[in-house]
Amino acid sequence: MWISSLVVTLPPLKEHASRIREAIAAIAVFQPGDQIADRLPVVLEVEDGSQARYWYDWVGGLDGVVKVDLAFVSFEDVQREHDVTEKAVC
Amino acid sequence: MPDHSPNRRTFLRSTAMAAAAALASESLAGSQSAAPSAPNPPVPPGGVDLPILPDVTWNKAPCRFCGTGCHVQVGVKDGKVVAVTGDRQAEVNKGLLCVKGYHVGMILYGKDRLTTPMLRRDGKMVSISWSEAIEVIAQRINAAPPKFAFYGSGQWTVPEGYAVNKFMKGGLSNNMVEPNARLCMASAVTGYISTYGVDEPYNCYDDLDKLDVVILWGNNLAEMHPVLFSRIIDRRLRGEKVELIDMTTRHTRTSLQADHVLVMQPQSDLAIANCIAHQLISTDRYDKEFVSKYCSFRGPGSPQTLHGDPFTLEQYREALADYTPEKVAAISGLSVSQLTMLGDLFADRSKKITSLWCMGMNQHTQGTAINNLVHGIHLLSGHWGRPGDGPQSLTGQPSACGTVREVGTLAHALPGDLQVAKPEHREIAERLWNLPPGRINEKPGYHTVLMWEKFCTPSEQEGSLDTMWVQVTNPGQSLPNIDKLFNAKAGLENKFLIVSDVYPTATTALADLVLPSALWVEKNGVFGNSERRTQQWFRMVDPPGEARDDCWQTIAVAHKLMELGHAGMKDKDGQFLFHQADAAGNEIPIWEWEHYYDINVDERLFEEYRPFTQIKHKNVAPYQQLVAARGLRWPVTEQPDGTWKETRYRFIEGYDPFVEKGRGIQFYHSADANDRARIFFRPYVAPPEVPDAEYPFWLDTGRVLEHWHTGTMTMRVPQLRNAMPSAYVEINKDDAARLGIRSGDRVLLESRRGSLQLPAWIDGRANCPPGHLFVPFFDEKLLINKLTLEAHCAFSKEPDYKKCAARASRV
Repeated sequence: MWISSLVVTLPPLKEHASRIREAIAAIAVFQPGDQIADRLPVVLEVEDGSQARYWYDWVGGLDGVVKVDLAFVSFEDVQREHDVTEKAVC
Repeated sequence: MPDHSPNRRTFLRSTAMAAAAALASESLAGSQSAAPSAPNPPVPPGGVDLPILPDVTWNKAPCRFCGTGCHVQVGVKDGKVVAVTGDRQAEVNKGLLCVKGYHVGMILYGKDRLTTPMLRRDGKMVSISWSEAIEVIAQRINAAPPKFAFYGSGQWTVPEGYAVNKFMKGGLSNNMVEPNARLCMASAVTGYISTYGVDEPYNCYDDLDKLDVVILWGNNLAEMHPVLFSRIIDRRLRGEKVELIDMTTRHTRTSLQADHVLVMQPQSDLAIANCIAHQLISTDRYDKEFVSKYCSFRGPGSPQTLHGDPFTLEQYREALADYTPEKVAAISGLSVSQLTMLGDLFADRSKKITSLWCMGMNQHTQGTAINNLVHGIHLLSGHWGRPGDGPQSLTGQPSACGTVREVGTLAHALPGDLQVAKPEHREIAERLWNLPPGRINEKPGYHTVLMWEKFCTPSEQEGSLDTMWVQVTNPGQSLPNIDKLFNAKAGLENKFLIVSDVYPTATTALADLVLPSALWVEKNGVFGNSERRTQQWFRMVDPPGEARDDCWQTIAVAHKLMELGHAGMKDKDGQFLFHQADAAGNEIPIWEWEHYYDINVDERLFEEYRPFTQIKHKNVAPYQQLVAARGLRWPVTEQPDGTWKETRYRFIEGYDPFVEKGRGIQFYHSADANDRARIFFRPYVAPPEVPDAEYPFWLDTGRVLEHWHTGTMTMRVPQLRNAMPSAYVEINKDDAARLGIRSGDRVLLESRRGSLQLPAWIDGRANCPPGHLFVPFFDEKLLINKLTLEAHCAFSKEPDYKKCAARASRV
């Protein structure tokens, strides 16, 4: 379980911002919170870090999103994914 | 067993939501939350407004990566770092972190951490004990002390760098100490010293909240210092007018937000700066009052020297006469109207202009010159000294300022901006270190490029260094022209390379002895960031296996050398160089790992170092004040009521306590001893290598958002590695079409020094203009520094990684 939270900065145009909010809410991995001015707090809950990165990028790529800031990352329960190629030091 | 119960998930979700909501509210409050006069808030136990997680304790630390100096709150449970959040009380980042910062906790847990000392025997690395490793190093050094060199970086903590400096310069009488920072910001140092007489920025990040216009001189701030970029962009989002001018050689993520993207030819920044000065002088729009009160003019010297020659205003005017917008347009590729816009901007005193730069100006064969010129146009125009109105260099490493520039881990330097070549400075250091007179060697050691050349050259061919110890950096990947300056070590039987690190790297691959080191919150530490802010943290978790602090390693070797009879390891009273005693006066054997944490060695060394900083008015705060703050910007001075006050702006009355009353602005360390800053003329000089028929492209190198420096740490974080798994060559789409290259195709890149195959990326996150290539250097499997040029600035000795000639072809 990988739980993180984001702050999505929405565009000034209300209809545009509304479309983005709906797009985020339609995806099960997201739990949007109450919008604060143009900032939308969102919790993201996925299985692993790769999925987290995928959805983080997805939000950032939504047309009109001004920026996405990470607020919190908990990786306490994550099965470590460090599949760095084993190397000897020589 | 991890608890995956629904209740726990619900709890974590609400914690995460609370953190996001808090950050959203906080960022709306914007810069006003850090009012200029606001005192640095103390850190309450456990911090404030932190996510409440069962059994998780939180503590502050600066981020391990770049020189911005963001503070994070680190959550620890059962001896492991389990969560990270931005520190909302930190003035630098106000709760924000970049994508690297949020994953900083995971750098500790790559599964290939080095955990035991390893010695190369018969070509293979074998585990050995720490005592054997320390013995091997001490014997090696003791056999020929002058042939030994120490190489570190701005990733050394302040106490680590201080210990190395004392060990080498005060103990071995050997000035062969250099940092990777020589490759990052040495030109900024020489720029500051020749302009103001003393190193480091006078200003601070508060400027980002006050500026009207920001000019980024070859600085991709959106990817390299994203939190600082966010501070500027957030002001726009709040409706403030902030103008962004991106002076660059390629379109980047920064360019996307810029009002003006000025795509210039490599090296032409010199001509552009001179063109701005020419416009101010020739139209009489410079700030006469500011210049007459606070500045003097300086010519380059013939041949050019660091401090140049005195110049009159008339000489200055004549020297600039050739830098008309029309002539500079031909050199720079900018239009006359763009150059005129810059001239008019600096002539307008109603706007506050901040210039920012980092490697783009520093990694430059004329690095000192361009630093001088950018300071010069700010001084000439009077855009200097008001909050938001001045020039400020940034650094790439977390303690390039704190450990390299302030502690002086450079071949010519002593702590506190003192120099080994000056007898009065050596006398001060010998007194503070309680050494016999004459202990410190007056001859500066080799600068980085020369040091590695001397190590990688056979002894019989003037390769005068035979043992090197590398800590906290990865020269096997980061040096320029690495086949010559690093890989040539292979096969040189009498050369011995010691590497202290946390992961296997391109450097450990050629090491003869590898030492496992503690990383970040596995040890106590102090960093100094780009805005003179000294930041402290405590050890929070144990290092893995037998990994140990770098500082302990240095002290243990020093003690072993003393046991071997090296006289330099004792002070003039016969005490060990790193002697520490308890309250009863009994010696604490900190050279034994079991006793290293009996006391806070960091605090002892830092307090020993502090008097050095008072000599040139760089007074760092007492250690315990740093414990209670999210960093303090020096000079920090004690107030009559016993509190300690930091300084946001140096040399300016009302801010800087060392400026004499009534002086307004006083450059009290002026190189000419006249309290004035220098406005230099430095001519445009063509780069040492330019594209030609054989190598028709400009090759530029640098970083990307996801990875820090050589990727040793960030490539161990799956989120970052997956987001940017390998290096690539960025090529203009028209050039690619002409060469039959599509995105993803393998491309052979060649320079006069080496070659490399890597995938092409066309129209990616950034775009090169025609005739230009860009390759990031984070990927240890695709070493672009096989191709780069080691030509360097004559004064700073910093190489130019930003421009050399190359060719490209589809494989």
